[in-house]
Amino acid sequence: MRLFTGCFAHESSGFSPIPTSIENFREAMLHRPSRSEIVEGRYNSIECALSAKGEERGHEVVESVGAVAMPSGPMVKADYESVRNEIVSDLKKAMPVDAIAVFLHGAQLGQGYDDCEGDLLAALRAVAGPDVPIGVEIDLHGNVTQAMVDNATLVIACKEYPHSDFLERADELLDVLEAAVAGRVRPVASWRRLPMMGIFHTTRQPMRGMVDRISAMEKEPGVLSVSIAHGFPWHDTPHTGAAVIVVTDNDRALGDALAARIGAELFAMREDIAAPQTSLDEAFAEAAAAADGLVIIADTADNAGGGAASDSTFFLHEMIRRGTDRAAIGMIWDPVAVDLAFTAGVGATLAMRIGGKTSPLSGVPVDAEVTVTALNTKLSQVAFGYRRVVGRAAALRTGGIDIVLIAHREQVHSPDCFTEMGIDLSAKRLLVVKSAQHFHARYSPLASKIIYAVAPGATSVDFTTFDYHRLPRPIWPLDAEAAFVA
Amino acid sequence: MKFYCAFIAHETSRFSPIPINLDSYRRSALYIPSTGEGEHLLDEVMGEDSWCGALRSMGHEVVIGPIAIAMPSGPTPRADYELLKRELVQTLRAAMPVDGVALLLHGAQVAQDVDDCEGDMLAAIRAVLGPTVPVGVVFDLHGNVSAAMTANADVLLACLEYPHIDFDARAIQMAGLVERAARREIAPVTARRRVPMLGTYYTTASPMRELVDWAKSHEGRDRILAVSVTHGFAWADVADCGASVVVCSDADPDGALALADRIAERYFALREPIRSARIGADEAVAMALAHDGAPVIIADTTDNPGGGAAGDSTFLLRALLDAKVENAALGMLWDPVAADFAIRAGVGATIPLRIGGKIGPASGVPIDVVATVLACRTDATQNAQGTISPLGPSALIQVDGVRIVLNSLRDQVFDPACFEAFGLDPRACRIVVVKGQQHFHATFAPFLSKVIYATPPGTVNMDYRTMTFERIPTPMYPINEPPFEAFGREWRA
Repeated sequence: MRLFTGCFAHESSGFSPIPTSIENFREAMLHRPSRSEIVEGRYNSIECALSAKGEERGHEVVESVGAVAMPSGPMVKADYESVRNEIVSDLKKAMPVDAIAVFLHGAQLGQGYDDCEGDLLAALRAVAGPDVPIGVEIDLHGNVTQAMVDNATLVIACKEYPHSDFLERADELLDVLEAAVAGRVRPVASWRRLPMMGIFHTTRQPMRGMVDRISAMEKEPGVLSVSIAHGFPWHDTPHTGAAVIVVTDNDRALGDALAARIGAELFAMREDIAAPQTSLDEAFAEAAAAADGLVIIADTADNAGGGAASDSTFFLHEMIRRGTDRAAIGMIWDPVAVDLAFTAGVGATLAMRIGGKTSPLSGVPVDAEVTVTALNTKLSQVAFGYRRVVGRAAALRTGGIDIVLIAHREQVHSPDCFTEMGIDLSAKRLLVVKSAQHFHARYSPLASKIIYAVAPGATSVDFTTFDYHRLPRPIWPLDAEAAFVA
Repeated sequence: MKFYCAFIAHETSRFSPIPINLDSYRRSALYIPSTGEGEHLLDEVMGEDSWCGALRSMGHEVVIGPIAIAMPSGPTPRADYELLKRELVQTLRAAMPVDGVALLLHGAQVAQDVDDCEGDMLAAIRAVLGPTVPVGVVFDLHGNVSAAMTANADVLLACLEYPHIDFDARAIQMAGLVERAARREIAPVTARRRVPMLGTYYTTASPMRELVDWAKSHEGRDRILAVSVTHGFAWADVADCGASVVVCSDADPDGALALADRIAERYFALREPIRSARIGADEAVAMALAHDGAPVIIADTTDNPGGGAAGDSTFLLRALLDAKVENAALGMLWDPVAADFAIRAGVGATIPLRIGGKIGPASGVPIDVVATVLACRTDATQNAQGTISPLGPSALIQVDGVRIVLNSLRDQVFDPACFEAFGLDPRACRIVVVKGQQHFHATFAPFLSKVIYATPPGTVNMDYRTMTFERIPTPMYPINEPPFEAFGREWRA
């Protein structure tokens, strides 16, 4: 079949202090075939696997824009519209096509756009007409909207957090599209939004069981796909919240019933699936009381992977105040400090001001006498199953604390962040990582205890700290009375 | 005849939060003769208008040694300094025999474990040349003159002006004296009288203006070849810190020393009126608002990148915002990340920003603002005393009544282009805060109504009594009040 593919994925946080222009995409990944612009930044994005998979399956693939950027604030209006218009124009030139497969994030914002996915999909639908099946793969952190469901034929979210299953979901998407084009199925989507928001790990029960159950449901007759979108809580829009999407073979009644039932089940377990919250003080107390071995505290509120600056100093200040030793913290985004460390050179000791530089959520900068212990122009780590370049990094030591600073904002995924900077984690008692969850798979084998802490930050799961005005109320956990009627 | 010329200059502050290495020189100007790196600088820096050009125009051959200039900052790493010194000595050796040497050095260069780079380099040059080949040095009046400098150079003179508008002319004067010495027309000898005082003295104002004019008036009479009144650079924190008077005479060492003494006496007597006043941020803004006339230029002297400061302190910005000043401008605040944010957000955007206060305690605290982006440039430049200097990616933002230039390449304001590049005319402002000490004066003088030299907390701390120096000898004014004995003589109150 003739398959049109594209990828335009940005997790936009309404509370991120980091602006987003087209430049952010150049730093990660930006393919604009119609402009012959291909910029391979630090990403090797698996989200844009749809075109490669389409070709593997022997289809005639017309590849449009591939644009991915690090989570940050809403995209500048003109830049968002430029990329959106380019995808639409690429489709116009490609018509007629048999199917459209796109990867969108699900939580993308533009200045003046609460729902970029719905906006783009409506424009694609207008070009494609009502009969061309449009399949959308999204990140489970998307906020699903009516416009998305109305304009796409099917929406499939990844099932895992950490997101280890993008490629499998892409295959499923293409399977359904092929079957639809061949006339074997008629996909229809049912969905329900749930009045709940939060961060839910699929590695733990009871969410693990829930994910396994919906996977099993997909084997049932008439059920093509079942997705749970966890939602992205840091949007101040009427679309915020978790959602269930069921795609059936022309059986809307079945889909609606399943979506309602799964929705009720998920809503009922909301307290049990929400990410643990431990305050900074509690986290240190728990760490101190822990048995021997390495305690890892996740600074979940300062996660670059959710649009935070990754430069907050709440933990570092406390570690210095306590005279903590055999400790390490990373990765703190501070490009100017990285430059100064490179200039000073390995072995130099100097006074430096670190972190706390982006916004009030960053806290107060740390002033410390530091020794530069390592410099790396191409630090890398394993993220989403492939080796991703982090870039220029400096390791500093102050007292008994090793600090990893980075020039390009990124969350901690794998232990390379420290080991490639000469920091021996086996000699550490305390490790603070700036990540919400993506650190978990590769760090848990090293840890005797993992604590998910919530200090101030742009990705705090203490939603009371944000100034929301437009959420669909009531919504759990802000409103205890929120209820889901199946 | 054949002359050897080189240009190695770095003003070093041990209080600077900014480290330096060879790449830092590369970013400003670096020519390495043995590899040819930076060859384009031969024309740009040692061309027709320079003292090298002057020697060439007299029909002489000029061999150029290393050129190494970097932004004022902390000490140069030992290995990088030794590389530059090696280039200096080896290029000279390869050029031998030469008839004379004419160098431009700073005077306040410090490397790790080398407190007196100029004396060290001159001793190395002298060792190659032997005793009879004349060596001349022109240096910055902020140099700390050492015995090794006067012992190894035959002609030693500094610019007399601050801002250093006379540097080129003094370099040519120095080269002329070396040339005459090479022809055996004169036999220059140099005498130095140290003056036990630390300070910053603007030669644009009385009574420093008159002192300099009087000192210079001795040149060309009674065998006096050159007179220099040096201010020194306290922040190098070396044993030779402080002011001095340097006199070159034609074979009259006693006469040179006697003149140096007379000038030193008068210089020290003026120590209080020539000192810059202590004026805090709030006081400076209040003084500016009380002045009837515009624009008032407030120089943020203690955060001068030209003195080794980061250029990101927020004391004066805080004072402007607290006083709710309208129609004020401030530039340039070194904040590459904030400038980048403004550029990404785009002209017309209004965004929250945290600006300044990011390098260290001398920067003050960062300020959280709501900023409207007025203009962005990636290619803006200013004229830094003859060198076109890039600002790096930069933006003009509006915060309440203040328009602020955020830049990416740390530097002081030399030139109104720092503002004009963004469509802001400083002439039309009520108050303009410039990060710099004095070099802005030459280009702002034609239109300014008043200058206030503010001294909020900062790296270029003028409050010497509160600072901890490790190597500056005492007694030293203003740390100590005269009468006291220093450098072998009495200094009266």
